[in-house]
Amino acid sequence: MNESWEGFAQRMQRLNPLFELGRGMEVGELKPYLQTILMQVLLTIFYKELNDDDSRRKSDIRYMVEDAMKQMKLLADDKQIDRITSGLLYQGKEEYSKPFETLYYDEIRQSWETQTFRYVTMDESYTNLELGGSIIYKLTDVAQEMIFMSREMAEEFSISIEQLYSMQLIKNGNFRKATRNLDHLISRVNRLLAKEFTFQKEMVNNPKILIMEEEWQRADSREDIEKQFEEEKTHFRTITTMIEKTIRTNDQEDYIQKELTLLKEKIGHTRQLHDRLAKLVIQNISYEMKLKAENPSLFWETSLVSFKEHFYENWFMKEGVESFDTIESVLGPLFSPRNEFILPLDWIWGEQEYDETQETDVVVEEETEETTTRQRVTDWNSVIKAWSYVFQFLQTYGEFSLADLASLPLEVQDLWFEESETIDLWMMFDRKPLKVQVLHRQEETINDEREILLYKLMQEYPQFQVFEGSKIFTKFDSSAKPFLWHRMKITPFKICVEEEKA
Amino acid sequence: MSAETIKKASAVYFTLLKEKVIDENSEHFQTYFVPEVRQTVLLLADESGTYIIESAKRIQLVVQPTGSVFATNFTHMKEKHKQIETKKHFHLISVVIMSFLASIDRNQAAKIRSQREGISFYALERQVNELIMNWDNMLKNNPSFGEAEKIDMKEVVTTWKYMEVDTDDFGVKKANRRTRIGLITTAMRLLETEGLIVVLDRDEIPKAIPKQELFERIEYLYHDYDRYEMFKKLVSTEEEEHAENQSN
Repeated sequence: MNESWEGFAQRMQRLNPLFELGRGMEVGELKPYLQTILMQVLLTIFYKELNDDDSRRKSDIRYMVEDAMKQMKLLADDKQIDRITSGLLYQGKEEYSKPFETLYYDEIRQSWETQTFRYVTMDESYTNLELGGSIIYKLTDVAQEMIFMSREMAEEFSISIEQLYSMQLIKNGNFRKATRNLDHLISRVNRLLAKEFTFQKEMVNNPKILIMEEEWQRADSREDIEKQFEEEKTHFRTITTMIEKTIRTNDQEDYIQKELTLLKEKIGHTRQLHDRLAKLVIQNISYEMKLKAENPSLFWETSLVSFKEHFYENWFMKEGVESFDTIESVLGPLFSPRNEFILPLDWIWGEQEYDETQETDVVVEEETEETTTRQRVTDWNSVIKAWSYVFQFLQTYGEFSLADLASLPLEVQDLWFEESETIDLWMMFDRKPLKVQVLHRQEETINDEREILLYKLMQEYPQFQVFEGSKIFTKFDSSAKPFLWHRMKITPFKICVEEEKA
Repeated sequence: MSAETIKKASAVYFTLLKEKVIDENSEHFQTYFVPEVRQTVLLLADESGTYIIESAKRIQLVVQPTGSVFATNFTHMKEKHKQIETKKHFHLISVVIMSFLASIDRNQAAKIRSQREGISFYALERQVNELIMNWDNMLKNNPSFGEAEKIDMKEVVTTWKYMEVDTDDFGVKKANRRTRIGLITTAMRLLETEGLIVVLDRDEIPKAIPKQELFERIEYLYHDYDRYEMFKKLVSTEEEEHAENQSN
């Protein structure tokens, strides 16, 4: 084998993402421009990351595509723009969100291997994992390397090299370029910081990764790493001194001074980031050693059984199931015990379902309402109208039993079915007593649906303003029996109002 | 066992019952790891048919496969699908959850990746479909297989096969329950309510992102050889009983 084969697989794995960019998209006459457009989009994301700009959702990426094309004087319809956007995110059909796959030839194994990669991936530090919402993307290492490759710096790509490069640029008086180069350095440091954070999190959650994953094995010993950080710190000092010197010798030219000041600020920032990284890495190394010393058992135990292999593939898939009790026994323990009595809303929901014997199919559909992700628009006018009758009763008698609904005039009863919200509100009142305090509030600041209802009622019918300050609660009407009303089984709750105690 | 220990242990256990999970920031977390307290809590848990899942970050309470006195979100959903027509949908929901678990249950490296990328509902649909098609072949190649005791499986396969993947008709409020994606949405909703996953990109291509809590439950329940044997044994007794019921 001659030297042309040396490191061939690695070379190809680096190039493949470039070759794959924008391939396989059906966008007609736009095809020749795809790579240029997508590279511009990748760069936009790159700079947004550097500037801590979180507008990197899919919709933002779509906008970047649109913007880049506008700049390049290319025309596209919405469908083409959508296709280009999703083509940067996934290979093939968007629905499956599949990563990109290409082949490369492994010269050592002498075989074709598959390489899997993505250009963008979820940015965990920006995506809100608690509240849901949209995924915020960041460049993967692969995509970032493409950007650095286009700068002819791919081979030696480390903090020290970036620093040396900056020094070179400053020496040659190329300050603007030096400032730009620092961006790459910042990005590199940021990336390492993020990686260390993830590592820290993973290590605490799951110490086994320390031995299981090659990715997390540190190549160098602690001494080497500390030495390297020291060296990098010295580089920063050298750069700062160089800048100071240049500022002093160049005091005439104003624009150079400006560039130098900018450069100085940036170096300061980079230095701080670098210090943080050094601290974090050293901290992680100490933690790692402590873990290994104190809990050696964490590392021995490697499980022989897995759900995927033993339960799913070799059992359920291969053998089928005799009865679904089997599957239920296996899945059951995934769930925590629940206390029925602290969830009265849900509990009543159970009773509220359509009578199953009459309309079995409807039961199935009913849950869809809970699960559909699309927003429902409520016609509040209808809700208010339906409820105004209840509040009239409340005003006169101080209570209203759900059982009385059936005795209302038929056209009023119809109102109760126009909007599902109308019925839903019954259940909400059962949650806990509501102290009415809405009259002097802004509508936008009210979140509780019951309060929205009362607010709207007071706006529409001023006589209901007397309810302000009173307490609304529900009581179980033990004298009445559950009854059927329009195929709904209803528990006869009473809704009551209590005047404010002075 | 001192009265003080029992007091502390029951405080921990009842907090677990209420909260399902106690994380490291809770005062109960420290209390739990006092050896006598821990022993008492474990005893309480075992007597009430529950397991306690411990990790460095949190402790969780789940029900045991049999003998628990507690209802769960899962049994609750089962209750809601008691009718013959709806029962098979519940079976399908179980199948979806299984397929989901299988697709996230891989080695550590893949675990980190699936935590980052999540599984799109459509990818999950393919995964479920693969299992169902497998079952379909099984039933076809061995027609007697579908007789008597395997009636559940046959029904589930047929229901799935004749179900649309998705509906374009978003305007119809109640339309998507009878689609495969609708079923997957329900199944994922169940796991989300349980606090085991996060659903992102709800308005686009929804993706389920497993949480650490879920990985810990999987690890405890399904990565343990003794527990695997226990499940196997449990099922074979169930099947015997099932067969007896059939013949009666």
